[in-house]
Amino acid sequence: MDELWGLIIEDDADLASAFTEVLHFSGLRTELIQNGSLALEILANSEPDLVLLDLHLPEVSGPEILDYIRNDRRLAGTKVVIVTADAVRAKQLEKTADLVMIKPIRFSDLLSLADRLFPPPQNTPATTGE
Amino acid sequence: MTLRRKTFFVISAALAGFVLLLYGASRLILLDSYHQLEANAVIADTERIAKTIADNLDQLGRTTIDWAHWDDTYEFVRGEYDDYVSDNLGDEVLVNLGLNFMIYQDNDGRIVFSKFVDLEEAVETPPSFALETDILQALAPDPQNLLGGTTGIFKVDGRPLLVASRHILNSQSEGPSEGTLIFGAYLNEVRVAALEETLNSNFNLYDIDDPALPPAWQTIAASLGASTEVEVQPVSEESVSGYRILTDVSGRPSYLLKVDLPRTLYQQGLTTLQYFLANLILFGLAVIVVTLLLMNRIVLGRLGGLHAGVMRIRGTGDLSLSVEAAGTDEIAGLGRVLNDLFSEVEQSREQLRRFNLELERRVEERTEDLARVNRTLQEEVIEREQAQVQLAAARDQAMEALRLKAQILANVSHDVRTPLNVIILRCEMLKHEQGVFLEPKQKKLLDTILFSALELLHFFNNLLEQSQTQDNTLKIKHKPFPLQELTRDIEILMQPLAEKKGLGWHVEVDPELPALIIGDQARLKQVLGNLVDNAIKFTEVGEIAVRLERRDVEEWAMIVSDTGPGIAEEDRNLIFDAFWQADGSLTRRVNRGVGLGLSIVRELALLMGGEVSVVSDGCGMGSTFVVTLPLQVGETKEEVVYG
Repeated sequence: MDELWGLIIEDDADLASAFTEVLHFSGLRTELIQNGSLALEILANSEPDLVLLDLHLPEVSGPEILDYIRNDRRLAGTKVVIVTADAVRAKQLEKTADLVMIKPIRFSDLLSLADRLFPPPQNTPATTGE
Repeated sequence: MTLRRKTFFVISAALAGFVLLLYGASRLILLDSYHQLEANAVIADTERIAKTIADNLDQLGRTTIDWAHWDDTYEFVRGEYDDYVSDNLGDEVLVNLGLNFMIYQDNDGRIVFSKFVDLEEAVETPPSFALETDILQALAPDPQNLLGGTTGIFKVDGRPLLVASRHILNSQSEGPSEGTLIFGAYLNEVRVAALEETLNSNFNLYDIDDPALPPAWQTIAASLGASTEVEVQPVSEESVSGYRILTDVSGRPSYLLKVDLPRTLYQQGLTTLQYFLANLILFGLAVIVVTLLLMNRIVLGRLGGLHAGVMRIRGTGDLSLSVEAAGTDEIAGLGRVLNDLFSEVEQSREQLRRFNLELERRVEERTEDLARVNRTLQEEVIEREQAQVQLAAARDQAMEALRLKAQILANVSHDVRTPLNVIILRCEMLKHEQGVFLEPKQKKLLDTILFSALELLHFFNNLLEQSQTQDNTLKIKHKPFPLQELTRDIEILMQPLAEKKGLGWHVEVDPELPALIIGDQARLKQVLGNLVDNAIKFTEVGEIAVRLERRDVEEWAMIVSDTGPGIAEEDRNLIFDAFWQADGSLTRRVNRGVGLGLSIVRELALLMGGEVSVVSDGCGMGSTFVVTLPLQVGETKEEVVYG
């Protein structure tokens, strides 16, 4: 199995680096992007296994990026995890996203993220969300 | 119709009736009497004529006796006196005696001598009827009665003849009878006229056997028969007739004596009646005139005066005028009563005028009062409208402020949560990576930082939640979820906090509750979490108990009990108000937190159709919070997917 890799799209550098570090623990290779338009550029040329998406972003907002991913067949295998402090907004995106995490994001939640999204292959093959 | 005219008509009608009645009665009585008188007069006259005729017959009989009982006649019939005729029977003798004829018969029935004369011309005439006729037999006197004879009317050739026959005796009226002497005179027009002149009457004899007799007379004759009574019948207004039957020598009805009389008495009666009527009418008229004059003077004129007076008062409307009321009778009394009435009406009218003025004055006063009140009311209405506008503006401002507050809080919470998240994550990473190397004191410091960051985050969450419920932006979901997840999440969240404070932890789920419940899992978790958090916060010793129980078919409850200090009775109604701890009373006592948790619990409970209550004896025996909720049982377990 190839090494899983993901994009962390989050404008707060401190939080983003914390995310990166914790995800590394769980064996995920990640790339950090701090603004929306850059994120779209990268997504246009790559197919990450995971996108950790903040909703409040400069230039292009989180929901727009989510729409982009969901409307691109090439990115059908990409899991999207929404990270936000806005519980109301989070509820609205529950169906479109694979997982919604409300801030504060706890260490244990991040650590178990990979296991929850990509279960070991001997059980069930990884598929797109419900 | 005026009273005068009515009176006139009534009196006139009464008098006319009276006059007619009187005249009718008088006419009936008077005319009847006059008829009677007239009849009597007619009867008397008729009888007088009949008697005169009888007298004539008697006279004829006596003359016959004079001549029959005479020696010369006696001798002449015996044939012993030849010059008898020349000595005694000249034409003038018959004329003087008024005889039309004389016949001498001897006992053998032979006619010894006969002579006929025309009385008017005074000359002898041949016999006017055949001497052989029955007349001689009919007149033959009774041979047994020498002094007797026959006297009467005899009809010859339809003409009435007065005849008498006697035995011829000597001058001493002694027999034997030598024959019969018959004298006769026609009751002709001349004789009748002479009688009429003598009697000053007008009469005629009519042969009742004459077929030319008028039928009316025939009827009268038939009705009279052999009676000698007089029938009286008016012929016209001017004349009346009396009828009487005359019998002939043999006693048979033979002539109708008709006497015509002028109706002098009747005419007099009529004239009298006419005078009487004229007098009555004149009297009646006089009575009418006098009565009317008197009535007018005593009643009608005065009534008219009263009427005129009342009309004048009505016309002018001047009640101070009065009507004529002099005198002591009823009309004068009526006038006085009217005058009294008028003065009373005038007084009432004056009173009414005063009342009206008073009323108008009062109405004006009330109208002014009302206008004043109205103005005040209008001002109040305007003030109220302004107040309403101000209130609406204030409400809009408040709504806008709330919205802004929610917005600001959302922004602040986002801005705060991100760095807090960094702190939390870093602390946890530190514990995870360096945990084994940390000294207990360092570890405790790290825990304190982590706990405080979580606390701060929790506070901001509540703040945001509360502002959203106030702003009505919160929506409640209705979705089946396993109750077990609720208790599990609470245990994960809260049990560590309780254990950290050394408190007992006890969770119980009523087996009567269904495994799946329809509701908003996140909000229920928030409510239960807030209650447990609150319980842990205020409890230093003892335990925290969580129980979910079924109340009945439609209701279930989440119950959180603690062994804290309890809540004073006066605070029990306040603890659910937002920021109630801000006044510092309880905060000072426990020195912790801002009271948003219970406020959010109440708001959410209400939004979910339930309610929250607290039971506490308030003296260190702890508190029990109960949230009751409508129970809706989820249908299947399998459909629920985690996440």
